[in-house]
Amino acid sequence: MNEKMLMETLPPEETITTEEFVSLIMRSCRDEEGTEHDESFYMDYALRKGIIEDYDLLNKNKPLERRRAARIIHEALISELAEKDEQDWSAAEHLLDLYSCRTCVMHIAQVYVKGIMSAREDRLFGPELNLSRAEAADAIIKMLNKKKRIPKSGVRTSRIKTLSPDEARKLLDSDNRAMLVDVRSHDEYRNGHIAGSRSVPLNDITINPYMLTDRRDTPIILYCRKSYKSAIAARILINAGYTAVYTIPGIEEHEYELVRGN
Amino acid sequence: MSNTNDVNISGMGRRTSRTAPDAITDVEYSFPAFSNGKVLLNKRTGRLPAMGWNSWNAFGSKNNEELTKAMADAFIELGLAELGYKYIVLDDGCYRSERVDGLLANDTVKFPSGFKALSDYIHSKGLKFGMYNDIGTNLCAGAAVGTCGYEDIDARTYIDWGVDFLKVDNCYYLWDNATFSDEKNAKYSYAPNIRSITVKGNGMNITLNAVRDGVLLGQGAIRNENDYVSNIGTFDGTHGGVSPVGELWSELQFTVKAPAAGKYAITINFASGEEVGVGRWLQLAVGSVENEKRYFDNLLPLTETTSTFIDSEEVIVDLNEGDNIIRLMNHRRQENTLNSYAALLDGLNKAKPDHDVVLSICEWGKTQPHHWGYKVGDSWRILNDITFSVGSDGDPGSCSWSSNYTNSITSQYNKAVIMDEFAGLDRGWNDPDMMVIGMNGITTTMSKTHMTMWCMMNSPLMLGLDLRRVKKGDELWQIIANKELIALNQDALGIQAKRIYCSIANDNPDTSYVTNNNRVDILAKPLANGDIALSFINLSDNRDDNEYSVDIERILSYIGHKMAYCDKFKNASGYSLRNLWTGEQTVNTTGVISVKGIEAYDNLTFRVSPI
Repeated sequence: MNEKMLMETLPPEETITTEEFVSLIMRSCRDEEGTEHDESFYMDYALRKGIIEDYDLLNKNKPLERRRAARIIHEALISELAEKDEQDWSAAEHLLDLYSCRTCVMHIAQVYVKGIMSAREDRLFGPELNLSRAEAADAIIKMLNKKKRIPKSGVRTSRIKTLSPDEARKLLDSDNRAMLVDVRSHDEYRNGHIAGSRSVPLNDITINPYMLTDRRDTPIILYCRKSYKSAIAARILINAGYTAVYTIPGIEEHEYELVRGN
Repeated sequence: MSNTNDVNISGMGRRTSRTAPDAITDVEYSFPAFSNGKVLLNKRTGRLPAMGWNSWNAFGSKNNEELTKAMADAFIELGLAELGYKYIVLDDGCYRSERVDGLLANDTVKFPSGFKALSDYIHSKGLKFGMYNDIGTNLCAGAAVGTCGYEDIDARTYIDWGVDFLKVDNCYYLWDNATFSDEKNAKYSYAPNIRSITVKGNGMNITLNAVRDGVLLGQGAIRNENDYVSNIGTFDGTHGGVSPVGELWSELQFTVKAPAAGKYAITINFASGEEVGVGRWLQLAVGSVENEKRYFDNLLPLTETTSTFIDSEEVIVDLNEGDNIIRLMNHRRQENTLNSYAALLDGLNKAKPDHDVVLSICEWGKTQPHHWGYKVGDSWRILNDITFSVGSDGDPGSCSWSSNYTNSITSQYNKAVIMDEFAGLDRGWNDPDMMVIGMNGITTTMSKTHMTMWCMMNSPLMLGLDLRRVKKGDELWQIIANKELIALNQDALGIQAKRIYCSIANDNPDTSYVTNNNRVDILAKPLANGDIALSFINLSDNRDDNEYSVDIERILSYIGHKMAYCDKFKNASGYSLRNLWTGEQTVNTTGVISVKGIEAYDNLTFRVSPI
């Protein structure tokens, strides 16, 4: 089945049922010119090959959710197209809802990093949403033709970025997840710190770099006295997989307005 | 509050409701009872960690009857049964996707002969049979056969099928925002934002502001702009960055000086929501946690926004003359989950009073089950899955030593290693998930250290590999069949090792939550015959050339009070050390045990016997 035919078969906005989707994939993968099987043939075939499960069969006439589409595509890639998994799927961690679905993490990660299915909206894959016919056609085309894919590459090579105090303020104002962290001791913090900062001493970060946030893409802005400890903390956070780590000049390197207390 | 569940069908267990969280009227099921050490429903105690095989890491949802039987055969052929491995557990992906006449049924493609036949086959080999289900409405992989509302019926089915082990997940759970749950279920898990309370009666009429007059107990609650308090509830324990030690919940406490003993009316000024941090379920108690009386435990109305504050209806309480503690809280995340698991145990008890079914709690540490799981369960998972790249027939799947999320050997270990005080024969075991030995992505050295960790920590030893890939005597076999390591895990004293040294957190090695793997840990574990086991573990990806020493005094200061024959050990003239991976035997007369030059990811584990 070629691209044009796929697009014509599928009115874009409507949802697609499991049975329709599986039949389309199976027909496309098997590339059977002239042989026409009915949908139940493909469902049965897919079930026996482990591409779909009893659950899919039972819900075959219901709209297909995106997470189930990801699973079916991923299973078909392995069993029908002998395609191996992408080992580095860290780029999928960009999706805020990747881990919301334990049994489909790897399915979503693979179709996402391989560029077969993309996020529904800003950084949300939308595992529970229904797949539209346009998305189904697009995914099948990309599944069959690697050249059409736009793979997502890993993001773990980030470096420390230094911000000016003004740039840091803008970042904090524009992204409410962004955090300003004072990595000096608690005592130094109490004696005077930048308003709105949290006190997390370098030693605590060294022991448990994951304590600040469970989201690796949270913007983290670090400071200390002379930018020595903040640079060490930034390196540790980057090694732990954080991707948006910044430092600003220390409190002896720039005239900040400091506040006292906890 | 609507509750239809006080009716107990004769001879059947209790069912949980699918329309509202059950009323929790028995104080033994509520938060203050979590610390009393008492089990519920005559839960059997004294069990050692379970040993066996679970299908998930090896085959994911693609396990089937033929593969399962092959694993049972392998248990015998490889001699694993003789070593103590006995449970063969079917994980998710086995059931028909819907109930048949209200009952659980088998997926007929994967399990054509049904579960009873498979159970009989496994039992005929002298092994034990395990299955999987969920306290929610559906299983994680989708099948709409969760036990919620069917606990009594399903328990009877499991007994009929001869099930000896039940692993129970929390996907699609109705009373917390768990995996696949409606996100709005956060309304059950968090209290509303609280701005103030007003207490009236006996001529008194005072309003206390949450931020200025309230005290935050535990951790996690947030004071907002000097006006109101949010995030009252229980931490989500599935986040790998949060320590399992300490107070994992938050409460808002007021002290009210009453002019006389008597009835008082409390109104709460609140703004509610249905999102993480701002919920709708409020509990109000008078008195401290040791001696509380609850006056309110229910949903409050949904306000227009999470900052549109309104007054609640009056809650009538009894106050004493003088100072009274009033606590606003929501421990329902834990209480609801305990209640659901308890219903299953109740069902099993009713179906077969002398049953010996192991109940393996698997809610990934979400509700901090190390505080309550012991009441009904034999083990409790502490984190998300150890790997997301599960295998299938012909594909071993993969795993990792360390990862920036929870799915790795060390992220499980790093959490479990400081949870030893929560485990024991009278409680049950911390469960850092099924083992990943035999999967791609880890070396032989890592696999050996993984085995050491799980044995030292008294973790359930559930194999997760396709055993057809193992030959008796080969490298994999020597790891999973290391008799002397298994003996540590199954030691009759039943004490999880304690970390007595950590190279980057030496002040409190037994309680500091350390996730940085550039380090060496030393674990010590008392054993029934008076020996101890001692492990030196290099978690880092570099050989460590430092010398690590530990003296007998340090060991005893951490575990002496738990040892079988502490004085004999302390006063010994020397110690014989047996390396449990190499078999090498040495004698130590200095009382200082040291090692030098531990390879990357490697461990040295000794059985230390007094001479």
